[in-house]
Amino acid sequence: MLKLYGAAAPMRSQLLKLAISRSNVWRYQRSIKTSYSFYSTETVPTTPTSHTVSPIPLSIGEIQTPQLLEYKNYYQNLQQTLRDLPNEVCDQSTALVTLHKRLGLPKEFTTALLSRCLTCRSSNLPTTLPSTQNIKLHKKNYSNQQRDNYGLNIFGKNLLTFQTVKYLLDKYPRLPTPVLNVAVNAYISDEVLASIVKSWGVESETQSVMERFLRNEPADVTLGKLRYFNNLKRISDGVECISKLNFSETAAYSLVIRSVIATLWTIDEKLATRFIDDHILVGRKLDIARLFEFEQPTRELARLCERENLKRPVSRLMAESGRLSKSPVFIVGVFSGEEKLGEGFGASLKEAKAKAASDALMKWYCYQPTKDPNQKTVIDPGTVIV
Amino acid sequence: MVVKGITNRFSIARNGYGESFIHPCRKIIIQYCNWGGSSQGIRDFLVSERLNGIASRHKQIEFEVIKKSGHPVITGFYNNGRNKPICVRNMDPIEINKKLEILMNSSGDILRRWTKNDNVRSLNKSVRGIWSPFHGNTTPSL
Repeated sequence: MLKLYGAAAPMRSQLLKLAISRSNVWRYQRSIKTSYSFYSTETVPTTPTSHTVSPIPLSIGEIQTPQLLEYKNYYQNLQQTLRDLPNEVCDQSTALVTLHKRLGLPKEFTTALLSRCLTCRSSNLPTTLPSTQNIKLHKKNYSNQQRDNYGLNIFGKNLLTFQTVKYLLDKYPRLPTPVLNVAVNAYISDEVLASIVKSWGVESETQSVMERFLRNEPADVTLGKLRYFNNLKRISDGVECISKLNFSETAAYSLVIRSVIATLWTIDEKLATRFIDDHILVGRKLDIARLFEFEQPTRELARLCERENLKRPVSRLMAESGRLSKSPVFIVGVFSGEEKLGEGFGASLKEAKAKAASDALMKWYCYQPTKDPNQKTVIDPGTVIV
Repeated sequence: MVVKGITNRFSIARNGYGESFIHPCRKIIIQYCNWGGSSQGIRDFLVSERLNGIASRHKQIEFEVIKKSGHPVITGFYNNGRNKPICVRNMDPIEINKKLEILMNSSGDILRRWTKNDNVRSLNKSVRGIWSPFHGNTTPSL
């Protein structure tokens, strides 16, 4: 691997020539220390002059060609790197280093750990190359030594659920259970988490090992991408390999953020909670009031007032306009004794009345306590049962 | 139980609202030709120290230099999945630097022409509320 550091200024024009002659790619920001480097053909084999493109690697025992041997070397090198995730190689990956910077992760969170967060169990490459006669991919062919995000994901998922429920109940102590469940889902469902990870600029590895070999791509490029599918077989011409190991892109993306949270927690608990707040809870907007749906608002409000020892709610017409016209407007307020609980408008008296009751209920359920430490903690007696 | 929760409502992203801001530009590819005269400026740019400085100042952006025949192109890749290519043929290093700045500072969104009255865009409701003829002082004063 040829590396050129910032101090090697006189070599720059020479380097340009080198890059030109080998038509290589120059990558900046491979590691935090080095300014730039570009890869040469020392660790990876050269592009074969003639090759047969096959989605499934052929068994080496049957056919022996220099190209196949090169491919085998490439495959094993890649597999070794993915299994061990060496720090030196991870620091070389521009995608990993820049992602680390973009997220502002601490130094203890190494690029190797970040790469592990991007490795799903389904990306595990088979240890033995399947033969041409038997192209079944047996489960026993897969090693369990790969460092993946399986365990981190489980830990991260529990942490995330706990933090989200805590955040919501701190903010809205009277939130009814069905709405709470929906709100938790609105914050941490797979779709939302996947969209967050995509907004970090994480790409997924979509190319097969053969394609990567033909492009002469070093292993560190793969390390910086999300690996969730067994890329041994590629999708082409509408034909797709469906196996138990395969799962959706959305699910794979959501694994990344959960494992990042779990890894942060192992470094420092506060870092993890802050990360969750910044990226998932406080950093995103959710209008809780839009998650409510009332079936019988007036009846529910009456039961609530009864339970809380308030006077029976009475709806009163407060203002109206154009009763006999095409578009009438009624403003109805719902009162408990002298106190106004809620107000609603509508094109009919019935609609305005229902809206007023919904408004009053919403004010009860979406109550937010002040952050005053002297205030007593609110213990919700539960949702109203009609 | 009468209260129901409405599903399929998701939280909306507000980049930079918390203490985290994710830079929208994730990658810039600089494509140059070693032969063509239109690439002279970008060749000068690459040989000079400029890119080193830019890369060290923007550690969150990945830079890649590719040799390919044809006019030189710099392309920015953004977190929203879009990319922006800018052809930099016959440009001198200073002009190329300006184009790079444009790519690095862009959000990756398509260019829109906002109308004059569209200065404030917010997910939040108006603090003052919507004016209603039925509320407040209903008797007009002359």
